[in-house]
Amino acid sequence: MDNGASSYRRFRDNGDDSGLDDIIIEYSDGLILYLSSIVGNIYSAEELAEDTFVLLGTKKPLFKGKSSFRTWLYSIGRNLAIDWLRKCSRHKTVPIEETESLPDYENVIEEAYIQKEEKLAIHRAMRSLKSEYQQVLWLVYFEEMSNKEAAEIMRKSVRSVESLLYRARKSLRSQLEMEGFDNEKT
Amino acid sequence: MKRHEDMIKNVHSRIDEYKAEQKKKHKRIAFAAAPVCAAAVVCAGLWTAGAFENTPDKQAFKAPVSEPSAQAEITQATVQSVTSAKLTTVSANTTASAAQTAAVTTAENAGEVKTSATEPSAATVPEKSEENTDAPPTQQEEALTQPASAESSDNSSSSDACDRLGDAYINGEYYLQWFGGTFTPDQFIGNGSDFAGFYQDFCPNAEFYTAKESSDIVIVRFSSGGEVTLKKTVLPSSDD
Repeated sequence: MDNGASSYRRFRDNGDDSGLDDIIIEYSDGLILYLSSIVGNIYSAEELAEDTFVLLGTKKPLFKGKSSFRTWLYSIGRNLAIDWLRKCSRHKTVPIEETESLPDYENVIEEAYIQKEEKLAIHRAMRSLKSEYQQVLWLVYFEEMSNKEAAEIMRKSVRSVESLLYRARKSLRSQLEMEGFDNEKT
Repeated sequence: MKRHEDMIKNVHSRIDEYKAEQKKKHKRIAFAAAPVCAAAVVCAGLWTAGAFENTPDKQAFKAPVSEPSAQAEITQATVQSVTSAKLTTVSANTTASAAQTAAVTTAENAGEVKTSATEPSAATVPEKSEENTDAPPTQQEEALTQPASAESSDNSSSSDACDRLGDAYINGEYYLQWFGGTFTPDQFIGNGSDFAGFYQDFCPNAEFYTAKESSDIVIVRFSSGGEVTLKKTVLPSSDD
């Protein structure tokens, strides 16, 4: 159940800070994992997720209700991630001491967010796929968004998303077969 | 790893920093804009009070003033003989001898003035003029009593205007009515309306001609047939 709209309304219109807190608690993990599929770095994804919530708190953009609150929030986060990628495309650096713990950190978030073990394995297999494949798979398969919502976030047509999703699943299947995973649903 | 609580704390602190920054920014803008606004108010007040109106000095066209010496002597000779209404100009062609007098003729139709001097000379005019005024009182009285042919003919509204002492600026040179000598018109150079001065206002249709005898002479002809002579005159400087 998407309660983000009401929480945001409480925060924006009534000045209730707890509304923003509820939003952070409900959406931060999923947003971080989604942004991680874009930027390829869990720490950067976490910073970008924080930037997304800060933007909500400072600029207070108007949520018009044309889509779900989550779709709207993920769109904002994606835009910030794209901007970040443009700025850091040539200067992508990760501290050496953090690189070794990178998979573990992401595993922690994964485990906290993705309850089902099957999905955990799939998500870990997704890390080796292209960014676009990761994004669309995450949004559709893990966030259980519709193709239309995924298209809205990724700023593509529904047809493009469907095509992308087909290729992503095919690629994921290959990856899983390589890893010896057997799941007919993918 | 940031827990949710840590993230919430970080987000709120960043929001507070942003709001503080905005307040400082607004204060800076207000401090910067205050003197500009004050200056604008002052300027508006001055403008409404008319402080910025540009009123250039209006210098009306001033006819050349013949003040000093030579010109004054010439005009003195003629002014004494000219009455306000009806007299035509009196030629003040005089010689050193006291006996010479200026002949004054007036036409009945217009204020044409024909001057003829018995002995044309450029001698000491002031003395002569004075003597002229004294010498033939009868002639002057006759001139005074005779009806004014003051119709300038060129200006029906001011019929005696063309009888008055006239002047004109021609090609940057100043010409004043002169009563010495007889000259023959040569080339037409324009109408009264073409030259600044007396004739532009009162006798715009008068015709200006050069003189065959002298380049310093301009002959003014009126439609009534009369004519006057203008002579190039050097105006004294204001420093004199």
